[in-house]
Formats: sequence, structure tokens, C-alpha cells
Amino acid sequence: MRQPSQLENKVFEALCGPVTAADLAALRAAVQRHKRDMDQASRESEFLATDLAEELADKLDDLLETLPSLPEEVRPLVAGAARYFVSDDDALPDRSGPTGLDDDVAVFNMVARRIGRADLEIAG
Amino acid sequence: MTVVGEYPPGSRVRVRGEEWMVEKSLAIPQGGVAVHVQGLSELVRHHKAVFLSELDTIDVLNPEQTQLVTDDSPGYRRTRLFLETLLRRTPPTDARIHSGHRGALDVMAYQLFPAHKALSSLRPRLLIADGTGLGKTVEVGLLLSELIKRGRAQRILVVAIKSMLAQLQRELWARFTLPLVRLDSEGILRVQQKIPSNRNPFSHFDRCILSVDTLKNNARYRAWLEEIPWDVIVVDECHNVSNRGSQREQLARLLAAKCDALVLTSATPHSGKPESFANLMRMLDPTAVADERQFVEEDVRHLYVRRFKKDVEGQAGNSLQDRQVHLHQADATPAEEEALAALHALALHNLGRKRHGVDHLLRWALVKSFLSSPEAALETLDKRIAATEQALSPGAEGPHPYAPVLRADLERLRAARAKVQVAAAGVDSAKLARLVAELHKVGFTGKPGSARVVVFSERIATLKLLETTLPAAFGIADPSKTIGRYDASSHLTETALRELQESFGRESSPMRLLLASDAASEGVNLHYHCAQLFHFDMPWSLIRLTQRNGRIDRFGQKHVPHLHYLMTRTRAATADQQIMKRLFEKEQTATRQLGDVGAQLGLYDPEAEERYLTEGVAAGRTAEDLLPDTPLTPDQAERALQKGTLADEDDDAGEPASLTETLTKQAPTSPSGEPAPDAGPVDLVALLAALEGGESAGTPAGTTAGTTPGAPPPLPSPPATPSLPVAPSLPAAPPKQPVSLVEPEPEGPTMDLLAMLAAHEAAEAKAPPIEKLVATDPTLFADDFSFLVAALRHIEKHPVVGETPLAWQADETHKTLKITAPEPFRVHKEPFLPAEAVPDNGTYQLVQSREEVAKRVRTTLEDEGGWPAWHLLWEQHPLVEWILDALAASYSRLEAPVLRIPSLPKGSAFFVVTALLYNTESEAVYASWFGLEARGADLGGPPVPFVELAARVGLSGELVNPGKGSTRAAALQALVEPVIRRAREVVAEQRKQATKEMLKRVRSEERRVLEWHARASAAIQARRERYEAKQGRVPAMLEKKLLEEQRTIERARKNHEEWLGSLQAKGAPYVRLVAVLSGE
Repeated sequence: MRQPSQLENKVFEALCGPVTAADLAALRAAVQRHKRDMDQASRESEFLATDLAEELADKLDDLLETLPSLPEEVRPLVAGAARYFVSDDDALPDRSGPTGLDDDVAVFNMVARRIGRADLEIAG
Repeated sequence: MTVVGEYPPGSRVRVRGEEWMVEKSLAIPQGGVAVHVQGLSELVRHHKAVFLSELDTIDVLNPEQTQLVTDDSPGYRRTRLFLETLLRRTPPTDARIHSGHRGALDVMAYQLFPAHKALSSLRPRLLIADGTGLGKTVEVGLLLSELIKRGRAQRILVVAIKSMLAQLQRELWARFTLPLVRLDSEGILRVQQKIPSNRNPFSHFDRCILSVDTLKNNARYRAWLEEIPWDVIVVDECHNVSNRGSQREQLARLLAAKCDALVLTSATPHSGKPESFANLMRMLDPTAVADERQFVEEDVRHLYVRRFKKDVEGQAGNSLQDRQVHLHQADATPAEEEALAALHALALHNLGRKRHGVDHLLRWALVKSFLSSPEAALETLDKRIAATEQALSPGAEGPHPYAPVLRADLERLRAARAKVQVAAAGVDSAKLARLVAELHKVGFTGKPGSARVVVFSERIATLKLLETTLPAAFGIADPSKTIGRYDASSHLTETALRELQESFGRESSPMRLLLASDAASEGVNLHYHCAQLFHFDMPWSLIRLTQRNGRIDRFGQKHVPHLHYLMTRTRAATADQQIMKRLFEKEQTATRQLGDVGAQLGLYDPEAEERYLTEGVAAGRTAEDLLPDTPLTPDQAERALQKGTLADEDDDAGEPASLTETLTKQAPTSPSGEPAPDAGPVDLVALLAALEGGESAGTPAGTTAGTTPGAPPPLPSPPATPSLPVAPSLPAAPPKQPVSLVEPEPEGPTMDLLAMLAAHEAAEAKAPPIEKLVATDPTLFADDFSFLVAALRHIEKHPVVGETPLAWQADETHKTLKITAPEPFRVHKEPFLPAEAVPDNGTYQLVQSREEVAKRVRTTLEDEGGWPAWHLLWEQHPLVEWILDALAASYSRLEAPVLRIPSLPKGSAFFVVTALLYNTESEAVYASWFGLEARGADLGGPPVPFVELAARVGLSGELVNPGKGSTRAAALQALVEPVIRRAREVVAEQRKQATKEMLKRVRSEERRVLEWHARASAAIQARRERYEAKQGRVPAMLEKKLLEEQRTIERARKNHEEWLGSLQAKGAPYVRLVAVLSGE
């Protein structure tokens, strides 16, 4: 899978930031909702990246669940990746076709590497 | 909104009170769907129609309403036939070969591979670039058959060069019963008589074959063509259409955009330059190559296959024979020696008024013509004498400025001619005598049954000589029947040439000897009953030599091909003998080991090769130097042979016409400014060295720059050649304009096309084995023959209403069938078959055994006027298709037979369900056959694959029909609705899996295109910047061109995106209950 582009990086950086406990619950719910929305949308247009949405959502949820136990400095990154995923019109609209989540995956993989969890990287 | 998926192909609909079968449905821009249907109910049977969903009420017949019925036919024949037909009509959704391999051919894995590769792509678009003689037509036929099986080849257009039309049409029919209507000048005339004059003939004929020139030259046809889309277009010998900007190329581009599947074939798919190959790749896929000077194997790997004889040895079995090569040398007679010596000494001058250096190439042209035959040399000499006389005759420009020199030349020419005349008059021409002796040895007598031989010569004069002398040497009484001359001179029309070729390939024909010019060296099949080929002279081109040999040394040759080379051994002309010997050796090693013969000299063109060798020999280079062991790189070749240096002795134009003249022109004039007097022979060695190396231009005469790795040490140059200073780069570039509109050449080297091709070859060196390429589809019958016989018996008992019963005869021992075509078939189908395929007496003869067909195809191809009287018995035969249509309709859409199966437990029943899903392109993306078990009313069990179920209940064997209906009819009928509900669940689950697979493929395709788009845009930007760096600004005209190219890229991307979107399946899969197997 490719590296994030400059634009994607910029969008991602803007989304990184602290997470309160309330934020966290809302974020986790938003991740699940986004997955469901993608699935719903695929009934109209079958070539949406629902498989990637599912994998991303599952892995993000695992990370978010353990977020409080993660080192302080990596929490904003994980939150950034999750916020990037749930935002529909990031650098590349999520519903633009089979590659609509390629930027989300690129951002997630970058975060996974940075927080020492390269094992979570998505091959796509 | 109405979507295409609501009316999948094969489904039945009721419109205007009649029942129809959907062939395809297409979304229309105005909204809704156009449903193309074929009539099923009596009133509309055999009629086609198109209904618009917005205008008509189109009722899809719902499977929930299926009525269970009783089958009272013996052994449930009717049901078995019905199921078999549906099974055979189920489109495969994988990339394996399902039907093509059952055509009349010896199955070889390498021939299956191109079809497999094309089907593996989301869109079947492929260049088949296999070497000569590997059976490209078979490979095309295989792919077409597979596309037909998948319902993706309703409309097929094959485009070929004129001389190949008949051969292609016949082979595709003989092997695959693929009916193509030939639209050559004759065919067009017939069509115009048949259809209204304003009707588009291409909408009339679904499958046709026509010549690229017919299209090119007929504006009306072109306009018609532009109106109409095709499912598949095949462009045979596509190198004929790859010249950028040519009319043929524009036409090919137009066609490429008009079809879903595109198949190109060519043994010579490039000119050695990356751009030429990129051009073909872009026709196949506009989003493959980002920069035509720099692309990698990965960009194009999905678009072509290229194998050579050496790659497929071991797979081809008996179809590729090991060749035997013979070199026959004959000592020149004294008269010949003398004539040759005279020609060698002949230093003649150019005829031009401005230039008149010595024309060395002419000398070699004369020597070469003499080595063909003295008669050929006489012809060349006479032409030159006439041209010289013409130059001397005072015209409007006054007397020739070099008249005295030319008059001297004329004398020398006449003297040489006299010596050649003596040699020609000699009855004992060395080579001719040797040919006669060798012909005796191989068993040629000219009598019927004796060995059949083809003799090649470059010169028509030589062929004529053989034509007149050989009959006497063999005592042939009627040479016109025994000996044919195949050349492009005007003595034969195109049809006569074709007949000559066919006659030579027919066993019963008295034709024994074919005298062929190189007009016959390309595309003509001579191997049917001929395994002896003689080269009476040697073309100075490896490509041509290989092409000649490929006429009998090719796929399908059943005997060891013998290739004989005749050479005159002389004292006078040693250099050319070395070239000939070297060519002889190289041709063998090249064919055996290296595959692409065109790559040897990097010139990819027989004429360029000939020029290269002639000029090289004239410059005194050795054969080893000119034809090194390792192939020349394209750059080396290009430098050795600058384009536009063709030796044209009579050319009087201002441009330099030959290397010699180039040099004469470049040579400094004498200090006085007068044209230098006869500069004498020039140092061509130094010149060629300059062309090769550039830096070695200043090397003293007498050495040659050994830039070719492994080339022999420098050689002494010919004696007495005063050296002239040579400009380092030739020919001179045109003067530069102040602001050039010519784009500056990009920096850095161009890609290495050959390395790219080699990488591809290595990657695909091993085709998957046959087991992996071929799929075995489920069947309920032992073979096609027993299926057809059962079908015919059934139809006999239950004739389709309103039709005369079929008259037929079966031969159980040989598994052959004779079927008299029913009236409706004659009226509705036969006009769309090749006229030659329709039997005169209306009775079709079908035979099942592939070997038998192959044999009969062979003999009939050869003995009965070219078209086989026996056709392959298989489902792709139009008449069998017709019968299958009748069987498919033997139960209505809303009926399913119940079979009593004693082996099933009491109270249990299997509902056999089929499901099909099509995408917007009417292409099946999912197909499934399964059984749902009902234990009482319980439907909870998992679906059972049909193959398993059929084996379990013995559907493919003898079933006993007690003749009574089911005792549980009512209970089973009540289950239909829940069964269909359950089936829809199963299908939804299976479909999910299919979609997932598809999604992965589509995603990687889209990523590829995104990457291509980025690279292609960057390449344009780089060109813009390069221009700015060199010229300061980009002129408006160039900017316009760059913008246009950018728009082309955007358009290609958008089209691609739309097409990818169209691969989506919409609507619900088409579910059908086809039978119920009941344990009573």
C-alpha cells in the first residue's frame, strides 16, 4: 500500500489532537457508524471499499479501546487516524469507488508504523 | 428506476402477450432499458425485437409461480435434455477454457494460454504476438469460442489483409464452426443486392470478416462502421495498421474504440522502436503506457503474449517437426566465372547531372542479380543500359554535363552484358544443374504422386527461367498443370494466386512444383503436402529467409521439412558467398535459440536488412562483422543504417539517395568551388565507422571501428581507396529555425524495448499445464453425439409446433450425423453463414471425433475445393445451436418437471435451482447450480452443488421413468415458494463472495489507472519544462498540442472509470427452479 500524499498528510495532521473520555466514546461510535454507512451505500453501488472499511473499523476500534493505556504522545495520532476514517470527504472521498479508502488506509498504516504497531498494517 | 439487471440474458419475459427470451439489455441514455429479445411463443418464434422498458410493459416471469409438471418421456429424456441444454448455456465466470479446446485441433497448452490470459483480464484485450508458424489463428479461434460461450461475442468483426481473408474465414469455420460472412468486393455486392440500400450492412451481419483496405477505401462503409459497436474485433497481422498517422492506423484506432474485446495478432509487433509497440498497446488499453519512450514490462504485461518455437517445443508434439537443412554448392562454370569477374570490375557512375560519383551499390546489385541467375543479371543490365541511354539523350536541359563518362560506362555495360549473355546461353549453368540433380534426389519427377516442391527466388526473371527449363529437364508434358509460378507480377490476378496456392495444397491436384517469389513468403500456407523447399537464391535478409522457411516449416507440418540452399561457388565473388553462408548459419541459430529473428539486426524490416548488408559489403565489411553472433542493439543498427539512404540508382532528386551519394555530396568541393571531378571510390569503411561510432571518424583509412562486442579485429579495407575527410555525423541535420516548433528530444536514453520484451518472455516462459487451463463442465450425456441423437429422437416425437420435423440419420459406429436443415433454419440462419459452409443438398454432415474432423478437415481442405464437407459436431455449430434453442424451450419458464428418484429417501426431495447474475455489460459475473433438500417441509440444509447431486442420483445414467406422476405433487408444489425464498438467501450469500473477489480486481485496476494518470500527466509536464529550459517559452502551438494530449489522458481516464463502473452487477440475481428430484 502506498504512502499518504502531502495533502493527505496535511488533512491528517489537522485532525490529530487530544482525546477526552467523552470524545473517545463518540469517536468509537462514529467509526462503527461509518462502517455501517459504507455498507449501506454499497447496496446502491457495489464497488465501494466495504472490505477495507470493515478491516479499518475493526483495527481502529481495537486501538481506541486500549487508547487510555497507550503512551500519551501516540494518542493524538490514533485519534487522528480514526477521525480521518470517519470524515467522508477527506483528501479522497470515501464513496468515490473501490479506491475511496486508499487514503484512509495509507494514513492508518503510517500511524500503525509510528506507534510501533506495524503488525496492524493493512495490505489492501 | 428500471435497471439492466432486471432483464438478464436468458430470462423470459412476457411483452405484448407473447413470450420472449432476453438476449441482452442495455441501459439507454434517455432512461430505462432497451431489452433485446428473441421470440419464443409460436407467433413470434424466430423473430427478434427490441422493447423499451419506458414504453412497454415487460413482465419478468417470477420463479415463485413455477408449476411442477410431470415428465412422461422414457428415461426422463426430456428433462435430461432440458437440463443438459441449460447446463451448456450457463456462461462460465472464470478464466479457464470451457469449450474452445473441443474444436478440431490438437490441444496444446501454449495455444490455450492466450485465451486464458485474455479472459483473466477484466476486459479481454490482447495482442497475440507469437512467432511465425505457432498457430495464431487457432489461438484466436479458441478465444472467440470462449467469448461466445460466455455470451460476449454476439457481434464479431475480423479485419485482415486481403490475401488472408479466405484462409482465415475457412480455418475459423473448419476448426470452430465459427460463421463469418466475407465482405470483400464480391461479398459487398451480394449484400447490397440483399438489403435495402440505406440499411447498415454491419447491423445486418453480426459476424463478418473483411479487408482493411475495403474499409479504408470505402467511405460509406466507414461511416456505417462508425455507427455500430462490436463485442469483439480481431485485427489480423496488426503490424499493417501500426504506422502512426496512416489511414489504416486511424481506422484501427476507430475500431479499437468500438469494441469490448479486442484481439490483435502479429509475428512482428514492433519496428524495434518503443513507440511502435506502445502504439499497439495503447490501442488495446489507452491507460497502459504513460510515456511511449519509457515504459516497463509491468505496464503492458497484461496486454500481450509472445512465444517462439523454442519456447513451446515439447508441448507441440508432432505438430512441429524438426527441420533438416541442406547446403548445396555448385562450382561456377568458366563462362559464369568470367561474367562475374566482369560485373565485379564494373565501376559505373551515377546518372545524375549534378553528381556523378561511382555507384558501388549498383555493382553489388548486379553481382547479386547474377547470383540469382544470368537471366536476372541481363534484366538488370538492360534496365541500366536503357537508363544510361536515356540520360545521354539531349533533353530540355541540354546535353548531359558528364556525357563522355557515361558513354564510357555504356561501352563497359555492353561488354559486360556480352559476357553475361554467354553465361546465360550456356546449357550447363552450375546451379540449375545442381537444382535438377537435387530435385531428382528428393523424388521429384513432375508426375502425379511424386514429391511436391517449392522453389523460391528473388527474381521473376529467374523464376521464368526455371519455368521454361525445368519441364524439359524432367520431360514434363503439360507444365501448365504441373508447375505454377507465384509472384506479384501482373500475370495472375489475386483470385488466381489464391487458387494456385490452394491447388498446391490439395493432394489430388497435379501441381507438383511451385516457383515462388517473395510475394509468397508471407502468410501463405504451403505445408499441407509439401516438405521440400529450395532457395534458388538467397535474399539478403534474415527476416525474409525465415519467412520463406516458415511456409513449410510451421505448425501442422506432418513431415520433416527439408530446407535446401543452393549456392554458386565462385572465385570472383567471395564476399557475397560469405554473406550467404553467414545468413544460412544465422537463420538456423536464430530460429532455434533466439526466437525473434527481426531482433538479430535490430532493423525489423526485410528491405532495411537487405540495404544494410548490401551497403556493408560494398564498404568491404566482412560477413562476421555485419552479422555478428550477438544481435545488434537498435541503436547500433540505426547508426549503421540511417533511414532514407536507399540506393536508388536512377534517382535524380536533390536529396542524397545512397550512402555513396551522401558521401559524394558531403565531400568538400575542390578549392576552385567547381564540383570535384570524379572523386574516385570513397572510403566507405571510414564512413560506416563514422556512422557507427562517431568519434572514430578520423581514424585513418584501413581500419574499421570494432564497436560490436565480439566483432573480429579490424580488417584491411579494399585496396586503392584514397580516404576523404568525413563529417562526423551523417546525414546532415536540416538547418535549425530560430524558434523551432519541433519538440526538443527528451534527455536520457530511450528504454530498451528488447530487454522489456525479453523480461516478459522470461516471465511467461512456462504456460500453466493443460489441466489448469481447461475446465470440465458437468454433463448428463456420454458425449455430444449421444446428446444430439437423444435430442433428435425427442424432437421427432415432439416436433416444435408448426415446424416440419427434422430429417436425420445417425451412424453409431463412426458417430456421425446427417441432418437436413429445416426450412426456418434455411431462411433465418443460412444467410448468415459463409456461403461455402452451406451444403448444396441442404444436408449437414456432422462428425464428433476431433481427430476425425481434423483429418477430414485436412483432406477436404485439400481435396474438395477448400471447404470441409464434414463439420464438427459440437454445440457451437449453428445447426446444433438451433436444436439447443428448441430444447431450451421444451419447458416453459414457469414449469419444472418432477422426477421420481428411487435412490432418494422417502419424503426427501431436491429442488434444482440455477442462479445467474449479469453486470451492466450483460456479462455473467456469477453463475450457480445447486440443489436444496427438503426433508418434509424442512429447508434448513446447506445447498448441494449440482455436480454432486447429479452423481448421487445418477442423472447422467439410465433413469427409469415409471410413467406416473409424483404421488406428492401437491406437497412439493406447496414447497416452491419457500424453496425460492431459501434459494434467494443462498444466492445472496454466494453473490457476496463473488462481489468481494470482483472488488479486489476492480480496485487493483483502478489503482493502476490512477498511477498511470499521474505518470502520464507528469510526462507532459516534463516535456513542457524541457521546452522552457531550451527555448525560454512554450510557443502557443506547442502548448495547444500539450493541452490536447492532456485532454486525451483525461478522456481515457474518464472512459476507464465509466467502464469500471459498468462492471457492477445491479438488481437481483436471476433465480430459476429447473427440476425437482423426489424420493417417493
